[in-house]
Amino acid sequence: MKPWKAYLIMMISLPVFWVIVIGLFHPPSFLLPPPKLVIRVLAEDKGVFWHHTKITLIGALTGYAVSNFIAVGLSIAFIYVNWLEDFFTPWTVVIKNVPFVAIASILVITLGDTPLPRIIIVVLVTFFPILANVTKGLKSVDQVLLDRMQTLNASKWQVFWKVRWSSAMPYYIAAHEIAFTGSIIGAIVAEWLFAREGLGFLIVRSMSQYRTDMLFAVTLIASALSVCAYLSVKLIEKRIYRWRKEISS
Amino acid sequence: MTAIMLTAVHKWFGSVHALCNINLKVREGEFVSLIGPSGCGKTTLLRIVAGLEKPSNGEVETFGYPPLELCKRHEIGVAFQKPALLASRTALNNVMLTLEITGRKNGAKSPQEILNDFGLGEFLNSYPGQLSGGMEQRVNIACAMIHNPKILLMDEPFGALDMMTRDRLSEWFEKKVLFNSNKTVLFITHSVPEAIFHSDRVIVLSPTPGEIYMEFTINLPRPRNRMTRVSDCFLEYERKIREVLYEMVNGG
Ligand SMILES: Nc1ncnc2c1ncn2[C@@H]1O[C@H](COP(=O)(O)OP(=O)(O)OP(=O)(O)O)[C@@H](O)[C@H]1O
Ligand SMILES: [Mg+2]
Repeated sequence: MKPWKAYLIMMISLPVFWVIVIGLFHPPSFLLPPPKLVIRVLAEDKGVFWHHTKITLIGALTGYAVSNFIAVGLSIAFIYVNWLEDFFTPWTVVIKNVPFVAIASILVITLGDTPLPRIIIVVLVTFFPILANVTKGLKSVDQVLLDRMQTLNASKWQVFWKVRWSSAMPYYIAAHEIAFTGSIIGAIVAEWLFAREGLGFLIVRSMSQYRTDMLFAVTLIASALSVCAYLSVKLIEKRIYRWRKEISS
Repeated sequence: MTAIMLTAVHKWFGSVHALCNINLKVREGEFVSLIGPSGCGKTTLLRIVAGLEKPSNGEVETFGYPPLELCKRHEIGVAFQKPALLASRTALNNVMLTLEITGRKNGAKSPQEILNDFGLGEFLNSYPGQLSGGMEQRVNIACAMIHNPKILLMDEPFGALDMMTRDRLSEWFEKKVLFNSNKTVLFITHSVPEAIFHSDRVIVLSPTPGEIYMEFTINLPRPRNRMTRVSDCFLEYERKIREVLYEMVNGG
């Protein structure tokens, strides 16, 4: 089956399933609003939704950019400065394993209502997969290629760019697959905890007002964003790595 | 002119004495094969000539310079036993990589021409993962020699292939690469016939520590082809070298 067909089927069957459940059980609309209602809310308040979506996206993308910058930079440094990786390992282990919701609460108290906590949380969530993958990728390079480069008297830069980075690329893309969606989730959770804007904030507000229709609308948007993020990475992967696809097919 | 010169070369890896007192002189344009049991130090010897390892003791010179200097001048090409290809580059782009690094315009031939010559004209845009083992080896050799180095070092280039492919590649290599070229080649193999087929000289190494055990000069006319393999002269060399190898591993 073609992948896009499978996606189409899923997108059709979800609302169908939704309508069937409502038809069978007749739940009150504050428990399970019908699709019609959710769509109406989306249409009526589209300005509001767009505004908050933009805020969330900007937070996620900024945090993600920072995260990439630090993580890629650090993994490159690991390759060239031997003790650095050992030195940073405990730090990265902590970053990876400390429950970020707890950290987030602390950040909110210390940093207040600024974009900073949001960005830091996104970084905390996405940093480790990128660091781990890129480091592994840069090390995965075949020793025989490095030997070949040495006998050709390649410069350090050439070895890095043409050989190491090329070898690490598939690992880097794999990291995006995990982390890019994570950045959106991270941003929403951060807003959920403290912000006055963004999709996470909309969730909190809808909950306190018992606006289930609103809640469903936000869920729809957030899910669509995450799925789109994931699929766009997949698409890029497919384009760049034709050679992998052709091998496997 | 002397292309490769090793004088009293020793190599230790910790307490392992991998090479012991190697003295070897290879003329420019000469084809020399190294043969010997696994672990006798063939790869180590080749890596020393390529400047990838330093001898623990003794001198190495390539065209009168240390190997690293010759690498700087891009005059050494190495075909490693395991193909040194980037999976994300096509066959053509893998060959181009050598030119990108050395900054040389192609030697005698362009990457397309050399791959055509090597029978890969239809696979220029294939990725290594899409090529057969034999094709990968040919790309690997093309990568090692596209910049037209004076010295070609080859570590069991056909080692991983079945006998038929191996023979075919050998014949192709003799015809397309060696014939009428003035390359100096140091060639590692486990196959006695393969060594004889290409070589001006076959050097037998003995194991632990690796020492030069015996040398054979091969006086067979060139160009060599399939008929050479079944000539009495060829078979006589094969018998002699096999005898020496058997005698050596059985402790004489
Ligand atoms: N980097 C290294 N560190 C430690 N020991 C090594 C290293 N490289 C080679 N050796 C040792 O040196 C000896 C010779 O190894 P080498 O790879 O040169 O053998 P070889 O003749 O090429 O064997 P084969 O035919 O199996 O490829 C072996 O005992 C090996 O264990
Ligand atoms: Mg070897």
